[in-house]
Amino acid sequence: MQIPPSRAPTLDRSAEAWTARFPGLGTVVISEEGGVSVEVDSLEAADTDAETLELRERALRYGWGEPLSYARRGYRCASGAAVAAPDTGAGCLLLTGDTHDAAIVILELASRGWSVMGDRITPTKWEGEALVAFPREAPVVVARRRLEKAGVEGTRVRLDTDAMAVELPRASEPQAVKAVVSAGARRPGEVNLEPLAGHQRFEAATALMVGGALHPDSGLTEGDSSADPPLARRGLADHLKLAALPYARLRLDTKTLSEDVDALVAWWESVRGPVASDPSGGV
Amino acid sequence: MTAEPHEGEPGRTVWLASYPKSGNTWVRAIVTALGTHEHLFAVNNLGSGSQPHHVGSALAAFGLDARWLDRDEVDRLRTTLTNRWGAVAETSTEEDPGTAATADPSLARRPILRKTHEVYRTGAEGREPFPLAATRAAIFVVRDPRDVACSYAPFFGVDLDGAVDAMGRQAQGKSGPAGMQTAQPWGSWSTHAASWLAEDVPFPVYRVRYEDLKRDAVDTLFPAFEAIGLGCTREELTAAVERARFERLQESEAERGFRETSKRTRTFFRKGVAGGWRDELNESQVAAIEADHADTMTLLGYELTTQETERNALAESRASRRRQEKYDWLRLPESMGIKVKLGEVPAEISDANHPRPWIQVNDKQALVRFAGGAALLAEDGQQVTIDWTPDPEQSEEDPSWLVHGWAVTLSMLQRGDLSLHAATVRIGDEIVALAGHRGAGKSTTSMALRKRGHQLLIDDVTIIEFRDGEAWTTPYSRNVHLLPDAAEALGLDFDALPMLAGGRAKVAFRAEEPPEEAHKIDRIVVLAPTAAAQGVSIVEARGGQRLSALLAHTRRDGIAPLVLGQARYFELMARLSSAAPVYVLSRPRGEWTLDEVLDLIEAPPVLGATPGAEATPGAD
Repeated sequence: MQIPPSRAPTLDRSAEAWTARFPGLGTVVISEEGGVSVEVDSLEAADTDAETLELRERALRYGWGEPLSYARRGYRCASGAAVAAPDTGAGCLLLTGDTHDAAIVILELASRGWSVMGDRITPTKWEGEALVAFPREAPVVVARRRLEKAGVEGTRVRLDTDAMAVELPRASEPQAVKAVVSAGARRPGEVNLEPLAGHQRFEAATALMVGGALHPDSGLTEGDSSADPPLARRGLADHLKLAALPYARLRLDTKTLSEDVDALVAWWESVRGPVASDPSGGV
Repeated sequence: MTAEPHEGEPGRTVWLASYPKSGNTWVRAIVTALGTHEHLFAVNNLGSGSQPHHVGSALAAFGLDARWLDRDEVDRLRTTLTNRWGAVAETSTEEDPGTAATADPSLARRPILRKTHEVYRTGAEGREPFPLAATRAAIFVVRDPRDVACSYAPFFGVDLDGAVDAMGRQAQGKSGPAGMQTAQPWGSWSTHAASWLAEDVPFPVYRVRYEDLKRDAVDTLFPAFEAIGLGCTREELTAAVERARFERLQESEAERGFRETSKRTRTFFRKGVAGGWRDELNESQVAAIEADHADTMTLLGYELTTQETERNALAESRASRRRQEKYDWLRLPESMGIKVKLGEVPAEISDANHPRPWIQVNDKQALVRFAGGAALLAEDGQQVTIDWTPDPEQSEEDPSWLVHGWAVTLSMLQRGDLSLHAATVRIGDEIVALAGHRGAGKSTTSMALRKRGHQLLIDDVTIIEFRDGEAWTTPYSRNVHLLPDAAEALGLDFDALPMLAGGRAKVAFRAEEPPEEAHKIDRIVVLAPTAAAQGVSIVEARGGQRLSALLAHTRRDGIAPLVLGQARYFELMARLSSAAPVYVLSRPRGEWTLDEVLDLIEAPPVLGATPGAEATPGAD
């Protein structure tokens, strides 16, 4: 492979402390306990203004350090944003699918009193039969033109980007995941909300968790003493539990956004089950 | 930048490249059908759809949320991910490149087909959109652009005219770190094709025409599949082609939908025919497509239906319109410091002189009223108000002459600077200003010089700046205005160009953007058509003749001396007359002598000529 080593990002998980490096941006080190330390690259004099360095630090911390830290500590990272319902203890909804469309829904739900727990990835753990989502520190990131259409302000995450960080109400406590919705654009003839059933849920569960570098078992093999029970059986058991969650497809049209999210909330009310107390003890 | 062919073992990636709506999905369906049991093949399970501009897989590969990167870093990430997929022998799945190695060595060298709609291009080190280390080859799927337009329109939710226009422009798909996407330039239909078929593409490119696929997909695809190492037999390919038959794709879509279709259309697999454009496109749409893409269509074996002369004329005019679409007629370069706005202007200004009934000028203001109802007020050389209401019956008329001609001229004069009624052209290493009265042929001459390969810097308004006794000008972007017979003589399609607003009987043509830098004027040629001229001749004006030649032929209705003041006007004209050689080119008024005029202007001036000596066309 002819990649010039000085330019390509790398991730080294061979040691106890993981090292993630992006030349020109910086280095992130994740300790065995999940601690994150960031060192920003400052290669040229022109690069050293305070704003540039601060934005790089945030990018490394939120965009790379935080996800790796959760993976290092054994969390499974769900591919999507988690939003907690307004009712205390009501649980949270995982929003997967297109990041732009999910962002539209997040903004609309936030205006209705929902709180954001995570964006793009949400750390989770099984507590018995319940999948629990944990809040992240990273701000929600939305494309500038989406914010402009929604009339919301944000701050750019980097100097040369269209990605904006948005301040939204945040949930600070873990919440049980009660349902999963995949957001996308509505095509002619489609309905705005379609609950999934049967094999559709099984297929949807397949894509729910991020694999690869964020998979806590990545790199482990059968027979490794840290894998208990055996990987294959544990993976299948987890998959069946994921598939048991309620799933739906949300298809948006920006002209009917409010009605579309009304349909989502109505479906949420019908599937979330009874409102429980805080499930996060013992993690 | 031209890339050198990659040394060493080629990578695994085979780019399945095509302009949108050209048959890429059909080929992907055939490839998927090759590796899928017939009962498991479904249109929503097509592989090879992961396009390189999307870097969302960095989350699985590195744990990195690419939305936090800047554009340069996203470009570098794309190169890294592409190399990772295409050059790592162990990885066998497309969707999760971070998975563990496979033990099956036969999979290690299988080609990975990846779809792309982007033009082929090289990039800086570490930012190659199509890195050589990962690339084995490309299969370039191309389709008659006339049929592409028919598919493009419903998919992108535009009408056929919109599709034809879009295909002629340098288009690109969405990009930006927020969407985790690098730039994805599509180009026009023909620049896209030219990029993949260029001789200097540093890896094998196998060309596949959609029409040949329709005729015999197995014969068309098998050589390419064999060359890239897909490892199928002809029998297997025949079975796959049957499984991925267009009608079956349509049935599969009808049953379960197709996740890759756009949100603007119900169906992706629409007709799947070759030559259907004959029933769908009208004559002008066909003419437009052929004007935009004739050379590439011919190269690819698509027969043209229009005549070359008309096609070339239409091509130039269409290119002009595309250039015009990109600019805001109300804006001038910031460096000029002139603010332009729309609004009402007063009927009169105080203490004004009236050099013409339609112009009023005082110390700080100039008010002009035009036939057709438009009006303009220039104030203090800094602000211009345009009073103009578009004619709802003339949605395509061009009002930019109000700003780029009159607003600039008056503002410069109010500042005490000279705005010469001249076009400026680069001829070889020389900068030549072509001055003259209205109707002298400045625009026609400058456009004709452009047609001969010279660079048109600006038409009609040449702003003069004096530096150490020399005359300099900085061009700005504006349209050229042409009468019908001039447009026709220049090989343009008059009907395809917008008319000037306000009932003016000229059309607006937009040439290439000039470099926005200052140029020293090397000579001034005054175009002086006269009834008395026997032929075309050029004479160098000497001494006082220079000033009088300039004064006689650049009056612009007497506005300049009135706004500048007589003394200042004469001072500036005198400086100009000694800053550069002045030539007077005479021609018979009313006769068409364009080629002789151009020959004389192109010929380098004769040094040391006898004062008053004339030169005629063909003389040394």
